[in-house]
Order: sequence, then structure tokens, then C-alpha cells
Amino acid sequence: MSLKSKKEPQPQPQRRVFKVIVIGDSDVGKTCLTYRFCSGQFQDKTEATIGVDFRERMVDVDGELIKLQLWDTAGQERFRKSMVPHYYRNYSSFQNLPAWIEECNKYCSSSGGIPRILVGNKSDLKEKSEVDTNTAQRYADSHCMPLFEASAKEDKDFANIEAIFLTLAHKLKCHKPMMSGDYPSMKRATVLSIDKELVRKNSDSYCANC
Amino acid sequence: MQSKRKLKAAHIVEALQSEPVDIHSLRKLSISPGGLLSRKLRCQVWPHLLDVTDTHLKCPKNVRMHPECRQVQLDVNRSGGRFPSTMPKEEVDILQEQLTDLILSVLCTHSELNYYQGYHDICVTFLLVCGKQLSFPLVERLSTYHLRDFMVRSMDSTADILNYLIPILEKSNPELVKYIEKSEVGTLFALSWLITWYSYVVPKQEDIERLYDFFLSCHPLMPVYFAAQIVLDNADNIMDGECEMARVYQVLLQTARKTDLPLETLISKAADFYIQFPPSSLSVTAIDYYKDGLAMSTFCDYALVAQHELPDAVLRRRGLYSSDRTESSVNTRPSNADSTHWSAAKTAAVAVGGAVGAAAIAGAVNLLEWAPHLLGYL
Repeated sequence: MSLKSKKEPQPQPQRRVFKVIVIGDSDVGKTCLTYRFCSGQFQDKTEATIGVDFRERMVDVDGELIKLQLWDTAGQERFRKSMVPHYYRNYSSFQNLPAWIEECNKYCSSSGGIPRILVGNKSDLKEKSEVDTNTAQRYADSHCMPLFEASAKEDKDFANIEAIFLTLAHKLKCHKPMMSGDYPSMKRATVLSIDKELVRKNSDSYCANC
Repeated sequence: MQSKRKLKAAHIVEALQSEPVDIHSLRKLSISPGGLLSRKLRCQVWPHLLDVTDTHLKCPKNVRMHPECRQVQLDVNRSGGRFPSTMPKEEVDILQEQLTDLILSVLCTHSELNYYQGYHDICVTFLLVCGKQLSFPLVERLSTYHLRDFMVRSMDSTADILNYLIPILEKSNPELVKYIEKSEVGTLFALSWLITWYSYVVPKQEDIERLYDFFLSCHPLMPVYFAAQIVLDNADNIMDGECEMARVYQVLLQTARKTDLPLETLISKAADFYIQFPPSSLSVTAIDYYKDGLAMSTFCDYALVAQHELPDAVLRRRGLYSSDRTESSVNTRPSNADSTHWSAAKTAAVAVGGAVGAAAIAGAVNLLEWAPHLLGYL
């Protein structure tokens, strides 16, 4: 059926692929964040993610074109193997951060020091924020993560969203030098988890993420 | 076209009005092209497909005290896209409140059932088709039968059920299976298809309802057989490119989201496949199927089970039934049999089940006599 022309195979440049896994509590904005980064748009009506969705985008990191694969995960605890009942006992996504980090370490420990970033999403809802920047920053510092506060909703914040993923890409690039013979398995799982903050009445507020 | 539709509607009404209700025909009509045609008919037929007689089941009180209430609300609040775009916001708000109550009512009634994200997607369709009053007994029944394995504490059973996909694909396209295995993509891509009964991926609500007609009339594994057909239908596309996990995952993920999904063809093929390769015929996996106590493995005959057995009782006696094997002996048709009316009749026979095997097959023959009316429908 396909009308694919039979071209001579071109020598393909070795292109690196970085995997980014976005984790965090339900409804903190994981889907909106990745969608904004990959499409430039804000998706107004996102539904709960079931299972794992996938998006990707090419980025230029210091002159090297790198494919960033974003794996957007469901927030509900049962979708993860490590089911820690207390995840959902309290409502604070910020307080859940240790659990997310623990989960990340559990699956990534063998590779040692997987780059992570903490994102406080929904920064447009500043007045409803329950986690102040200092607290989030201290937490991020203590786990050696950069902290970003961003809003997937605000158009003017797009540069900030880009910065999140580009920072990750940079970290990954430094993390894993290009070596011959390593392609195509040259991928590195990274975890970026988004977490929402405490006492969110209905659907708004600031989020902290990791 | 219109007259065929009218004729089919008349058949449905006739089956509903016969004394006792002709469930056998209702199943066949639900599977055959177009399914149950309208919400009005669905409201009347779905209770019979689920063997729900008490349609005024009382909802439990204080459901909002349930520990999962917050998670349910988070998901329901984001379900706005599932309601018709023309529906006024106030109406959507009311329905969403009802949706929350519906879900929590089932969870409060059955403490053994665990909520999962995606369950709300199934409940939306019942609410839209049947309204809040009738939805409760229907969803309650569905949750303790078809969806039961998805609602146990861990998702291991769900993963086991998803794994049926590979042996089903293997029967038809071993090359594709090799490719999928090489890519290491797994079966996770079909998770949302299975546990939401495609509500999460199929774009049109009317298609979702049509699919529910089909699934409600069949073995609970039918959604997996259906998934296999979607994958098979896109085999060229899947294998056209680098055999790499992310690419294959992305292609697979999109296959069910197409707006031009050939629904009736896929339904017909899935039904054919079920008859040719019933769960017990799926080699190694079939052994696990009877061994590991999935509630699904008890579905030799849904109607009979529903009437005479509580699922737990059936679970305890699992392995006693072997309707699948009985059914496989029925299979004498070549694999490329694609006439829709035939497969609808045969699948209804299978759906209605092994214990009444011979009678069901006789029923299928009867269907063949009038099924040509349905040819070309849609």
C-alpha cells in the first residue's frame, strides 16, 4: 500500500536518543507539560493518562541533534509495580516526592546517578500555591536536582518548559559520552517527575516535581 | 440501507418481547453488523446481555466517604472530552457528579474491587446510554464479571490477560510476532485498549457503544481478540521502519486511534478468530489460563454462570468447565471465512456457550437463514 520510493540507503548519522520518563502524582500536569514541549500547544482538555503515552521531539544540544523520547506515565499508583499504599494517603504531591525518588532509584540504581529534574508545574496558579519556592529549592538541592517552576498553560512560559527538557538533555549528554559501537542502545533513562502540592481544592494550584 | 436497519430493529424488539426474552437472538443481533443500532435499544438489551433482572438496585449511602473518592474525582473531572461537545456545561457537570457517584457506589458495594484509572471511561458510556438509575446494576454486574480481573489489587492479572495477544497474533502472522518480540515493545501499548474497552482510544462515542454491544455479548477475552485484529490490520505499517521499541510502541499506540477504524470488519474478524482459536487453543498460555485463577477463565458460558453461580464459587471450582474445547470442535470453517453474518452467528453460539453447545449451533443455522438481509448493512 505504501508508496515509499526505493531510495539508496543513505549513510545515517549516528543519532542519539534520550529517554525521559515523566512520573508524579495524578493530575499534576505531566501530560500537559510533555505535550507543550513536543507540540508547543497547551492541551486544555487532557484526560487521565491510562498506561503509558509517548511523545518525542528533536532537540539541538550543543550542535548535536538528539531525539528526546518522553514517556508520559499514568499517575495512579496501581500502574506501577512498586505499589506503596501511602502514596495516596495524603494529598500532598510534594510530600510524595521521597516516594517518587525512591521509585526512581529502585529502577535506575544500576546505572548510578540518573539525571533528574524537579518541576513545579502550574505556576500560573501562584496564589493557590502551598509550597513556597524556598522549600522546593531546598528539597531539590538536597537531592541534587535542578528545580524549575513552570506553567504548561502559559504561552509566555514556553521557553521555561523548553529549558526543563534541554537541561535534561544536556545532563544526559554529559552523562553519556558518544562511543562507537554503542548505537542504537545508547539511551539513558531519566526520570522527571511532576508533583503537585498540598491541599489542592479541585483542579488548581502549584506543583512541585522531580 | 434504512429498511435493513428497520428490519434489524424489528428483530431486536421481537427478541425482547418474546416470552421468555430470547437472549440467544439478542446476543447474535448485538454481534452482527451495526450491533444494537440505537441507545434506546441498548438500554433495553444490555440488561439482558448482563443478565441483570433487578434494574432498581439501591445505591449505597455516603459513597463519597470511600478512600478512592479523590482519585475518582480527579479522573472524572478530566473526563469532559467524553461528553458530546454540544452538551451544555451544566449538564456535563451533573453527569460528572453522577459518574462519580456511580463509580463509588460500585466500589462501596464491592470492597474487593479496586478502582483503576480507565474504569471511569467505561462507566461514562453506561451513564450516557442508560442513565444513572440503570447504570448502577449494569456496571455493578460488569465489574464483578468482565472487569473483575482488572480490579483486583495488583495488575498482574491484567498483564496476564494482555499476554494473550501474542499467541493470538502468532496464529495469523508469525512474522509480525517475531518483529514485535525483537523490538521488545511488549504488550503494554494495548493496556488502555483493554481496561477501558477502547473508550480511551476510539474517537467516536457511537463506535464505542457499538463495540460494547459486541463485548457484552461475548467472552471477556474478546477485547484482546479485537486488539489482535487492530494490530494485524496494521502489520505493514508496524513493520515498515526501524525495529526499535519506541517507534513500534508509537505506531501501535496510534493504530486504535484512527478515525477510520474499520470497526465492523474488525469485529467480524475478531469473532472468527475467537471461534477458530478459543483461549484454550492458545498453546502454552492456555495452561496458565486454567491454572492461575483468572476470573476470566470461568467464563465458559456467561449466561449460565450469571444465573447459577457466583463468581467466587466458580473460581473455587475452576477448571471444571471446558467449553472452549467444546467450541473448538465446532470449528470446521477455513480461517479466511469472512462473511460477517456467518461469524456473528457462530460467535453468538460461542458466547452463549459450551454447555448448550448443540442447541447453540442449531441457533446459528437458523440465523443463517435470515442473515442475508443483513449483508451490506452499513
